[in-house]
Formats: sequence, C-alpha cells, structure tokens
Amino acid sequence: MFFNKLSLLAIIGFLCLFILNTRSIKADSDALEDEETKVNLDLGASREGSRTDDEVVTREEEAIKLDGLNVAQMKELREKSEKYVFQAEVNRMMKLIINSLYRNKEIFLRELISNASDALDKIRVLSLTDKSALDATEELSIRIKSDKDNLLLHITDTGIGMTKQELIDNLGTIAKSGTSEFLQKVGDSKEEMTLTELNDLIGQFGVGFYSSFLVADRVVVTSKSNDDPDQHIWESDSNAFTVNTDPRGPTLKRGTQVTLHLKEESKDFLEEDTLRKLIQKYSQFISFPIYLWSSREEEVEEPIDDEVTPEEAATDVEKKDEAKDKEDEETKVEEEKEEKKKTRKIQKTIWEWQLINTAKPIWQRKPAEISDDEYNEFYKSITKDSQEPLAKTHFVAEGEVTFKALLFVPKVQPGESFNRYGTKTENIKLYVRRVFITDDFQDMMPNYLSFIRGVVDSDDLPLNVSRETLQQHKLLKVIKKKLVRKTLDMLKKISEEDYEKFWAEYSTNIKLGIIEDTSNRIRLAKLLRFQSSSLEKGKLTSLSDYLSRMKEKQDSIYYIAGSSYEEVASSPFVERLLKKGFEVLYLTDAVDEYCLSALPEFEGKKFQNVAKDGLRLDEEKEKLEALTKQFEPLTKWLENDVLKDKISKATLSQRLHNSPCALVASQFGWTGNMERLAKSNAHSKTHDITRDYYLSQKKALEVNPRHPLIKELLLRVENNKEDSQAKDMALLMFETATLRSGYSLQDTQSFALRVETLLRKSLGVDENAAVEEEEETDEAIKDDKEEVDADEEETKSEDKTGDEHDEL
Amino acid sequence: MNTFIIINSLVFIVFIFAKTLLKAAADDSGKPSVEEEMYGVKYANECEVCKYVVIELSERLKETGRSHDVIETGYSLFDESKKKKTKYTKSELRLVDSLDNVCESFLNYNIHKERKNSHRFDKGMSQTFKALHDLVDRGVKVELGIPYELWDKPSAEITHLKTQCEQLLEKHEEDISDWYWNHQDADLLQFLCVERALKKGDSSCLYEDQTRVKDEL
Repeated sequence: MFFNKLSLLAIIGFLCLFILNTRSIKADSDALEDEETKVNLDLGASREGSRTDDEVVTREEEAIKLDGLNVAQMKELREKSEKYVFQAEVNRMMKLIINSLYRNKEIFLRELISNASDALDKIRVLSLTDKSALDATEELSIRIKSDKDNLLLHITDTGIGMTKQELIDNLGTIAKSGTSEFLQKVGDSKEEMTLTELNDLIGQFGVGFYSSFLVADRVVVTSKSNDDPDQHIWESDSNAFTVNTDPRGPTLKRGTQVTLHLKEESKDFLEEDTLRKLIQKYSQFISFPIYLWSSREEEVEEPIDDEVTPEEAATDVEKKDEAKDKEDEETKVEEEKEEKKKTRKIQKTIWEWQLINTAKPIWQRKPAEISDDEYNEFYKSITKDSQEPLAKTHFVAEGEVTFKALLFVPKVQPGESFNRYGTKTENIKLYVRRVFITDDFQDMMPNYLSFIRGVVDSDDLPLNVSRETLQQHKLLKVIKKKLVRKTLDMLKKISEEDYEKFWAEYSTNIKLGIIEDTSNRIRLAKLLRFQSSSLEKGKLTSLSDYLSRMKEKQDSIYYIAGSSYEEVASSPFVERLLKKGFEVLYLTDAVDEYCLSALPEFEGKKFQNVAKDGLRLDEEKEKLEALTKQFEPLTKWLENDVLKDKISKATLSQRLHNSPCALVASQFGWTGNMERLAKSNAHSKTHDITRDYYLSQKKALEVNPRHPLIKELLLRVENNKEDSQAKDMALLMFETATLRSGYSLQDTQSFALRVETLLRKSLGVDENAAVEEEEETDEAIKDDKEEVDADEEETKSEDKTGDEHDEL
Repeated sequence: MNTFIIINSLVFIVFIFAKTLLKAAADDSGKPSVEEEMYGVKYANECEVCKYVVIELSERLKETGRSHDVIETGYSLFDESKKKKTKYTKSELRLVDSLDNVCESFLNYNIHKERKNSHRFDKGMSQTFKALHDLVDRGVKVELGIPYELWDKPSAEITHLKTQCEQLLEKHEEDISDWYWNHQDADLLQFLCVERALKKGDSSCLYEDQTRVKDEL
C-alpha cells in the first residue's frame, strides 16, 4: 500500500518519528507511576537489573580501583552485608542458561550492552519531561574496561540506575508470570535446549544479565539511581547475593557498573581485540556511544634533555604513571626510548577511551539527509565489498510491524551463488532496536533474491527472535513480503544503463523468481529481457517493448528457445514468421524456456513457443483446406506407412519457408531444447517416470507444401506408394528435420548410411562398390585391426559430434 | 458374465475420456482455444477462476478467523502492558497467512469431465478416475497412454488453474486487501468478481447451481 508512495516516504518517516516520540513520552509518565506501584511485577525492570551503568570519564579510574576494593574493605563489607537467596526460578534459569549457552558464551557482552542501552534510553526519555533527571551527569554512554591483572571486566553506563530495592528485585527475582510453568516444562524435557530456544528465553524473561555467569564466577553490580541517595553494591557468586551501601559514596553519580570477575577459561574476554570484535559484531549500531579502554602505539620525536638508559627511562615513566594515575586518569603513557640522539624516537603506548560504535545506523536517518557517499561507505562497511553498490533502497515500512530497511544490490554476484542456491545466506542483517540479532534468517528474502545485501531494523520484534516457537516470528512473514516488494520496486527503477549491468549479473535470479515467486510474477515479468529477431545479436528487449512492436492482429508473443543466437535465428521454426515480419524472442539461456513456461501471459498476450503446435498464421481457410486435401496422400503415407511409430502425425506446416519439414512438439510436450536440457540435467533421477514419459512422446511432422522436395515426394507417392527411393528420401528428410528441430537422433547408424549412399550417388560412385581389402601381413593384421577399431570409433564419434553439432 | 460387460463398457468410456483428460501435467501456458480444439483441454475461464479463488480464500479466512492469538509488537521501556497488541483476526498477518496457500490448494482439485459447467472443477477424484482405479484394483489392464504413476498427477487444467489463481491474486491484491480492511461485510464474490475482476465480463458461472447439474447427470 504505502509501497507505491515512495515519494511520501520521507514524510512518513518524519511523521513516524513524531508519533513515536509523543507516544513514548506518554508511555513514560504512565510507566513511572506503574513502576512505583508494582516494581516487583515489572519485567522491564527486571531487564533493567541486568543493566550496566556508566560513570563520568574523570571518575573512571578511581571507580575501577575502588571496585576491586582492597582486602580489608571487602572483608568489612562482606561481614556487614545483608545476605539474600535467589528466587527459585532465578536459580533454575541461571542453571539453564549456563548449561545451554556454554558454547556461545560471547553473547553475555551483547546482553550487558543492550541492558546498558535500555537503561540509558530510560533516563533519556525521562529527561525529555524532567530536565533534572540528568542533573547528576549529562553524559549518556557505555564504557567497557578490562583489568587483566585482576581478571576484571567492567561495563559501566550512565543510565537510569537502580535503588537498593530495585537491585534486590531485579537481580534476585524473575517477576514474570508463567516463569515457573515454563521452567517446569523445560526442565522436564530431556533434550538440551537449542540456542534459539535459549535466546527466546532470555528475550522473554529479560534475564540476559544472568548470562554473566557464563564467563564470570563472581559478579558485582554497583548502581546509583536518582531515586536513592546511596549507591549500592550487589554481589553474587551465582548461589546467593548480598547488597550493601557503597562506602565510597555515589562515585557513579548515576548509572550502573557491572563488574565481572572472569573465570580462568574466559580470560580471552579481557583482550582488547576480542572485546572490540564483539562490540562491533553485536552492538555497533547501539545509539549510545560505546567506549573501550584501549591502547595504541604512537611514535613521537622527543628532544633529549638528559642521559638516561632505556631501562631507567622505562621505570621512570612507569613510576610517573602510577603517580599520575590519580590526576590524569585519561591517558596513560608508557615510553620506550629507541635511539640516543639529539632527538630520539619514542614509542609511546597511549591508553584512551576509544569510541567503538562509529558506524552510525544510517538507516535510522531520513533518506533526504544522507549523501550517496555515506550510503556507499555504509554499504562497504557492512559487506566488505570494495565496489559501490549498483542500486539501493531505503525505506520505512509501517503497519503491523514497523521497520526500517536499507537494501543494496551489489555490482557483482559471486560465481558460486547458484551452487549454494537455497542454502542459508547471510546477506540481510536483522536488528531489533539497533541490536544485531542474526544474519542467518533464511526467511528474510526468497532464494532468488539472496544477492540483496542490507539491514532490517524493527522495534516491533522481541530482542531475541526465533525461527520456531515465538509467535512474533510470524511477523517476519509480513516483513519478508514487504522487503520483496520494495526490492522489486528498486530493481524496476534502475536506470537503463545500469539495468544492463544488473541483467548481465542477475538475469538467472529474476528468471528463477518467475518460476518460484508466484505472487510477484507480473512484477518480475516486467524485469525480463531477451534477445530478439528485431534486434542485433546481444541487444535485449523487454516484454513491454516487444508488445509495442507487435503487429496489429498478432495475438501471441512468439519465442523460440535454443542454445545460441545463431541456432535459434536459423531454426526452421522461425523461417516464415520472420519472412512475414513477426518478431520472435530468442531465448538462449538454459533457464529461459522453463521461465516462460511458468508465465501464462503478459499484459493480456499469451506466449507461443514456435517449436510447439498451435501456431497459426492468418492463412485463408479455404486455401489451407484445399492444400491439406491435395497433400493428403503424402501426409497419410508418412503418418501410416513410412514414419509409422516415429511420429504422432503428419500435417501441413504454416511456419516453414526454406525447410522441407520440421518436427513439432505438442503444447504439452517438450521441445528439442527442453529435451536437451532434461537429458543433460545432472540432478535428475535415473528412472524418473515423468521425464521418461515426456522423452518418449512422439512429435508431429510438419511438411512445407511449397517446398520442391515435398512436392516431388507427393508426386512419387501418388504414383507408387512402394517407391523405395521415396521411402529413403522421406526417412532422410525426417532425420534431418529431427536434427534441425533441435532433437537428437535415435538411430545415427542408419542415418549415416543413408547420407553415404546419397554421397555415392551424387559423386557418381557405384552404390555397391565395396571397400578395398588391404593386403594382410602378420604385422598388417595387427595394425589393421587397430586401425579398423580406431576408424570405427572415429566414425562413431563423428556421428556423435555431428549430432551434437546439428543439435546446437 | 455380467461384470465383464460392465467392465467393457467402462473401458470404452475410459478411452473417450482418456484422449482428452490425460494430457498430463505439463506446466505449460498456451491459448485455450488451441488446447481445447486440439486436445480437448478446457481451461477455466475468468469467471470460473474468480469463483474458485473466492471459495478457497473464504475457506482460508474461516480457518484463520478461529485463532484467538494476540500479536504483541512495539516496545515500551517501562512496562510490558504498554506493548501494542493486535488481535490476530484483525491483523495484516492474518491476511498474509490466508493468501499464502490459496492457489496451492487447487492442486487438490481434479477435473470431473462428467460435469459440464464450472462444477467440473472439484476436490476429490472424478468418477471416471474412481472407476478406472477400481478396474486396475480388480486386475483389469487399463491403457491410457500415460504411465499409471502419472494418472493422479494434476492435469493441465488444474496446474493452469493454479497459475490463473496466482495471476488473479497478484492483479487484484489491492482489491482484496481493500475488502479485508474496509469491506468485510460485503460479499467477496460480489466485491471481487462481479465488481472488479470480471466487471462487464461473463459472470454467469457464479450462479451455476451444483445440485441441478448433478440431477442432469
């Protein structure tokens, strides 16, 4: 519906944003009240539990240090702490998660970041109506820092944070109705949960936080909410948890810090590279900045002021560093002296907060505000393609499920695409609220459009969509339908020049689409291009253009299929059509004939395969009847006598001009081209009944009443039905017609003999002259034998190639 | 003796039908006139196509209409209950679901040559074929010109009907969704076929009475 109104998209997009905004504001104020009254029952809040918070840059270093509280402090805290047990459901949920996700541990980071992002979203939305919400700190960010020495990983956000009660509720209970039943059910089944099911579970119950225990043996959550004067520390080893007031005071200002004490085997998650990759994979389009505490090497020229040995210099710097830590938390510098000269090159390791999610989710912006360069750059970033895309479409789809999508057509399709046809592709990335979900949805695009690359982002799907149980998944069906429509729209709009490139690359896809995608056949038909008798070789026409050139009384679109332009252009089937000025489409790709067989008509015009019966050129009826009568002795003779069992019937042809006769398939039968394709199909069953049936169907022989050979044959048959020469000629004509019509000969031996006899006659060689015998010596016999064998083989293979050649 | 005669006469009938009926499951397109003239293959006309599409679509809508599912979409930061909820029966998804396999269902149809008008399209095996299978089961050799395995493959008319259905749905997709959203109280046959798909064309098949046809037989 709205697909037709591309021009309105921008406006719709704008409206959409507007509506969303007003809606969420309203929702917020309502939700606030709700939160106060029934925090315990709030799933959203339990998700929030898993939230990490963040803190101000200048405070960062200190907070981290404090978080790994010193032994005495820690001891004191533990002694004073209030101990809690997890709700039974939480325990079971944790076990479930840990047991089932152990092979996919890395998702813990995605979950924590997405929780952080949710917490930030909440405070951002609050601040829209209450400016003071951001009083504690204006910053809205996520910071990730690893502490290799202590095996700690900190994920800190400046989101909404949690009060003490919220910490207890959100990180200790699962306040979702049906949890118990669900867990019961899962627990009962013996089978291990699949990843997808687990994903569902996490999404459904908002328990992503607990995936922390996949990699950590101890988790500390420090949180500060605007609604609680104190900052609190929640700590757990997954068996029980404690909550304390933070003796450091509100160091976070606002937000949550999740600190994971990583298990020995999960140490890899402390590596900067690993973290960077994971953030980029799952969270690169989170709308809040994600910083990673990272190092880089820099070479600096520095004048020498005093003589220091490299070792001394290094230690010196380290000391300085430690001293500096408190004042200069931002940048830590390690220096190495390289050369002793007047100036020396210094290798510096600079530690700083690096913004990781630099790729802006440009699909979230208005198309009008995005330059082509930005689109191209984005395309390259998600595809690793070095070339620019051939076409793109960027739209917002509304309705039951609202989503934004940005789709591209790459310039080149990988050569092996069709070998992998129908297998899963990873070309469309699905995001839910900017969090990467998956790119292996087979359902996002039909097979024939699997070359389309791009992103789809919807707010309407749960964070963890699955292919199986979740009912919401069905919405993907709606998304898919719209994606296909939009893609076809985009293809239709490709400029003529670019379309040539597109067609060269993707013609087979579109043709397969005609066969497979029955609900878009008409749309796809408009994208088809074929060679044609009216155009020079290599030039292509659309069906609409063909229609515009059609003769006034022409009621069908004529086409012929074969393996090359030359073959079809010189086929007996097009002779008379071309002579009469009709245009015939030349189908030269293997898939072409299948494709058009699947297409019943185009804009009211039927298709006529000119190698099949049913072709009618406007002949005068009486004349035709008279001719039919005149040639009846011949056709009857052919049908019932000479070619009995070889043809289904013999009739007068309306389509031949130069050729004496041709073999025509029935409307429901296979043409020579189809037979050739069916026989050469490596993927067919050995005794496919359908295939064998089609291949066994006899063809009709059409004779050309204006051809001198046919006229002569008629005379001879009228004189003497037993004329052996006439019989021979008829057989030879049948065999030639078989070859010329694209079929293969059953009996090549007899055919060769007949041709040979003919050669003897035309050269005046005695028909019965025998082949000269060679003198036979012992040696010669041997040689001779071999030679004969070779000769035989040669003639055989000659026959064969002769066949194939003709067939081609 | 008696049964033999019956079998004989049946075989005779069989051959008459065989010639026209069994031109196999070619996925081909073509011109009705030619097929009918040369092979006795009588494709569904526009009216018949529309009629059966409406029958099948209504059936599908009836099935999907039984669901009490609620689709939850949208995402609220604060509260579950703020989610956008749509009744499946009033959803776009139901329309998509319903349209999904409408045309596929025609593969369950068969041509019942013994009936003349639009009722020649019907689910289940035709009487002719029932009789034929019956004969085969009793050990009679029946030669139809096509392998036994292909007997029950959809005939040319049926595969063509499926294609015609797909074409109708694609052409009138907007009309159908207009009906779905705004005019469900109107009769779909009237709305889609009479007023839109057929317009001034022949719509007589819509009113053909099946019982009368049976009586005639």
